Amino acid sequence: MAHGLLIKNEDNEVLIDSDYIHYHFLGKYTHSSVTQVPDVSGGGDANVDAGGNSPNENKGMQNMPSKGEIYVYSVPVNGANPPMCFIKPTSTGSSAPFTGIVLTKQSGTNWEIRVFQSTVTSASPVLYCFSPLSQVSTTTASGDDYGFKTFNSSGVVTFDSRFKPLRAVGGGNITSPGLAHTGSTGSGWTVSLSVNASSVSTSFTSQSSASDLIYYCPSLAHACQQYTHEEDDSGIFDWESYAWARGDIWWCFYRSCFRIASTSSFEANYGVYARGHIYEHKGDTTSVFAGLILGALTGGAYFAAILATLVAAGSFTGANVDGGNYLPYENSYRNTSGNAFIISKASYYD
Amino acid sequence: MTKQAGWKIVSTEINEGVYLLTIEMISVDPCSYNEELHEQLHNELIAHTHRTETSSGLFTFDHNPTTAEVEQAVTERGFNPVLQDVDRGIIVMYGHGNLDVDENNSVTRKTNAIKTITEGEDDVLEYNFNLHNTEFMNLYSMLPISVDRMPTSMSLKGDWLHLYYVNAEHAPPEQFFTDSFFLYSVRIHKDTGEIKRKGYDKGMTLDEETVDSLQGFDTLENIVATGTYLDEPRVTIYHMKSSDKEDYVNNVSTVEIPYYGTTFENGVIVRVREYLRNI
Repeated sequence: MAHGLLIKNEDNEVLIDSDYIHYHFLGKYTHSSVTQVPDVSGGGDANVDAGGNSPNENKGMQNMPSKGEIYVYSVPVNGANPPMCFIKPTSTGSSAPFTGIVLTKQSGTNWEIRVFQSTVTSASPVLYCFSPLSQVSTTTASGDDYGFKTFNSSGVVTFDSRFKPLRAVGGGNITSPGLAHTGSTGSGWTVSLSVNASSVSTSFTSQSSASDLIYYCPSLAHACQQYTHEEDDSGIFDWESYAWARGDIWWCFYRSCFRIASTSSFEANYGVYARGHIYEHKGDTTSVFAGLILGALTGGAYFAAILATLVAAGSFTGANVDGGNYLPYENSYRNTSGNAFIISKASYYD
Repeated sequence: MTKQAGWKIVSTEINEGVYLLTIEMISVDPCSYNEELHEQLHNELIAHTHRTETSSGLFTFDHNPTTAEVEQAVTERGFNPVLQDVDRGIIVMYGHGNLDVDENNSVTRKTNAIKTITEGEDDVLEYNFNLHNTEFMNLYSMLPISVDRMPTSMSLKGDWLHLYYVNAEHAPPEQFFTDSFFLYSVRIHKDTGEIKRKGYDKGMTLDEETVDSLQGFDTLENIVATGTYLDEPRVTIYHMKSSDKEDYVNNVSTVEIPYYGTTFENGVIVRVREYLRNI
């Protein structure tokens, strides 16, 4: 550093670097709408009573875990740099819902931020957003003519104490759980895909009040798990030949999300972001039918076809979410490690 | 079309050191039929099943598991390659028809005749054309008239030869019936050739007014079939012996579970018969 200013704390951590574009408080935002990913649900029934013992139960979303909700925010910041948005959660502690930013997207002169919360609550998370000074209104009030200001080598203001620079009080890295659901995923026609993974916890510098804390931690990890079940039968019943087959697939797509568990503890887990259940159920009263269908209801090709049909039918119309089947992969997880988080305080900016 | 019982790994992924195995588990009906019997079951429309169940689930290991470890894991998850009885309104296995299964899950056909017990009368056996051909033909030879269609089974109650018609299409024996029923019986007096007919429907088919006219009808529970006499002011209500699970009647035709038939004439009970398999 041939010129400029570099201020460090006693741990040799950089607090202010005049070469660095520091983020300043942009504003506090409440959501403009709330939505959920619609269920992908459906199937086909054809002569399902053949044989008298054909299973008809649970063809909807029975026993599926509840979905979280998605809060949509519109942050007015016209610039190429996305705002850094901290979440003020609806509550803190070991029973609090998990929350995480799942989308940051420029939309005209605004940035659209989507926050996913693992459970539905009456209260809503609030965003505290920060941007480079170039994207923050720097209108000063009368008397606002003192403080501390830095410039980079091009003469651009990089830090100005008058415009509430971002103050981090803690941070670190957190790893999300691998699978969202561990153990059996179902039995017969009863699915079991609720989030039961243990939360992963990491500590940060202890603060005086958990409810005052806000955090920045985008949701990077996701998991997708499924359960399939098929039954078929053929033979003679009630003096008639019969054959039937039913094949089902249930799945959940989980997104990682976070919570302030205490004044010094940050936790990660999953919420159900999207879910689906499709099936095909066919029967007939001829034994010839058995050979035609028993091999057809299993395998990805069949389910892929019916999924495409359901999505093409416009199941997402008006839901304000991107269409798709939300079944990106089978029984796995992605991006669980190295999720950076920053802790700050709402009271600095209220 | 037959599936093999067992499990198989359908996908394996190593994710951050974790082995993610998606495993398909197949449970099947353990019963085996010899080819001749199986063909016979289908030809004679004797109830039996070929049920299979297939589930897939995710299993995780911190190492590449051995076959024994996978076997243990699926077993601990509750997998059983042999299908167990599941209550879905009918018994999954051998619930219908005259089938029996031995300790090796080998299925054989029981040949016990249907027996009718009526208080004050001799017990009567019903002989099936296929299963009791000698006895059946003895009765058939007693018929004083010719019949166009060979009945499924026959019995002799007093002076009356009873002819039963059971077929998959429920098609009426046109010599005697024009209306369709689920089952048909024709009584022919062995000496005079007089004919009386009865058609059977599943469940209760009488209207409310008729039901109200039947003496003691409200004591009957779990009605499984209604027998309508075409030539007499009679009706027979077939009902389970009790509401207990072991008395549940799935199929009135095969008489695998004993049940009663209460016959009313002009609204008054004239007899109660028990139907069961002869032991």
